[in-house]
Amino acid sequence: MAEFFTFMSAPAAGCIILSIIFTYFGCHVLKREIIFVDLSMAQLAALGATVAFIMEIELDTPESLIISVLFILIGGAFFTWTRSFTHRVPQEAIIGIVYIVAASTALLLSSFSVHGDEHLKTMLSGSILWVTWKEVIRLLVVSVIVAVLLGIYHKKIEEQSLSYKNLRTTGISSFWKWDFLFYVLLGIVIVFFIKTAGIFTIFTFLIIPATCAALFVSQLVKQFVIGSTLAITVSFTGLILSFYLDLPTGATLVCSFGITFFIALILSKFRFFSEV
Amino acid sequence: MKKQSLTIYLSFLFFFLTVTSVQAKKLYIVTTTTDIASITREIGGDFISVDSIAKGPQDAHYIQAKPSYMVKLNRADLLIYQGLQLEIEWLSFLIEGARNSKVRPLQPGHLDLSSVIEPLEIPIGDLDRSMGHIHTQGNPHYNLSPSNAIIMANAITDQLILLDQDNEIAYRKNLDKFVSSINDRLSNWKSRLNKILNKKVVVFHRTWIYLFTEFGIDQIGTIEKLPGIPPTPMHLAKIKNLIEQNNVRVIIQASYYHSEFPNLLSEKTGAKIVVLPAFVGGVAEATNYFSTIEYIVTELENAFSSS
Repeated sequence: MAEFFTFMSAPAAGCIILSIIFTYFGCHVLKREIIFVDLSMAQLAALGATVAFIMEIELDTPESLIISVLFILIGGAFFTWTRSFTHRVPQEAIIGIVYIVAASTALLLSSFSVHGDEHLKTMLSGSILWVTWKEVIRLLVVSVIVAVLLGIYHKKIEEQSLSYKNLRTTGISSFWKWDFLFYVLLGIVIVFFIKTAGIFTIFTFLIIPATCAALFVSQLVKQFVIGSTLAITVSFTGLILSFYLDLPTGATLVCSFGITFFIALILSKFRFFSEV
Repeated sequence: MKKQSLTIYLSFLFFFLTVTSVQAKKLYIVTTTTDIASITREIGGDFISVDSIAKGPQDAHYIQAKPSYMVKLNRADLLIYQGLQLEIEWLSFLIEGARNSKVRPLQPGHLDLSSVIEPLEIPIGDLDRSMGHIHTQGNPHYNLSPSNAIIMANAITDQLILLDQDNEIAYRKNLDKFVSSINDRLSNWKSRLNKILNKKVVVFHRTWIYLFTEFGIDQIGTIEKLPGIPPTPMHLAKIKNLIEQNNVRVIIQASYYHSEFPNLLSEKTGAKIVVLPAFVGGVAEATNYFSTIEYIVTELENAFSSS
């Protein structure tokens, strides 16, 4: 047992931060039906890192991070702008296009450098298992800053999420600031977490807890509370399973959440649980 | 009654202490690759126990993060790794996560075997960044040269003696045995491959340069355009021409790669694909260092002579 705490305390702390920050974003992403925005943002960040690498900037340096964030800003601005087309095409289609083009551009660029694709792979397959306390502190600082901003502008962002598809009733001029803020904050969180957690784990924390909660309640605040509590419980279970059965940690976490989702699906069919 | 239970308790305690002290004497060594594990086992014999992080059929460049790796390295007296950036994607995280000061860099429990090896394929001259950065220190697959295995064995022996002087004589005896078996087999392997005249090959990835240098095999080209980068159509056409112009009959691919490009080239040129283990355990027959090289030499011999 002592051994478990020696090795898994930092990953567990990382999971708590992931659970809270990504469930929050997840609830909004779900309401807006822009599920794959995180994959798209992650891919833009990876593209930024690749561009930095081509420009002879080492990975994981502040300069490289700044270029990644720059790409996130451009992506955020683009997604904000394309919302004015959502009466013709769903935002999800645009997100998908950005994802695949960003991914292929990164591949094209990395073909000019030996083992360039290795950096892409590393970005996409990081593992929460390797997280150190120093890294946990860094993630905590970023999350707290983002959370404070979210706290201040919560009302505006929620307004946007709830009326996301009814653009004509709200009008373009009133929304763009808050939409841009939402995309950029989500993008920044992804940039900082992706190296530690990897894209699969991040996608899981973003979507599954929020989806499970949305099966039972519709109010955003309730979804957030239920979702993040569930995320912490399930991720701890995943860490324990990974440790004692010696399974790859990232995949174990994702599958634990997958099982939870199926259980939630079945339970939500019973009237007793619905709309608590 | 009390006396009896006390005796039982004490005998248990005695038993426990002797068992643990016997175990404590045994050095526990963690290696990154199976080749290092195999050589270390030959040198350390019964005085040590060894675990390798990467398993034979795995590509040591990428390892899935599993908790047991940290637990193993946490208990280790000595970490031996291949270096030259082979394990760059994961080893530093693993050392950090293991929380074991004995295996940190510059400690006696930390051995980078590439420090004693003469690396090949170091980019010469002013380094262009378009060449990437993984190969700036040279090709990391030096384990495939039996001459390098001797150098590795020497370095491992020195490190074992440094950590466990009591068994110095045994370690040195095992080293002598290992060196003479390698030398015996090496002359056999060389004479078998020397009989073949056309030893031109095309490889998928630059894994084999140390093996080729040892045995005088001529690498005409690589299917990957650059290490880790899949070939462009034009590059494939170039390789196909090279194969035809030089009458290359053999395409070599490591057992952990599953690329379709060698099949494509084989279909177009009639050259035979040979799948070789890049590490001990890469195929079922390659159970230790000797049988791995034996397997490679036999496969090459068959492929060259059948074509």
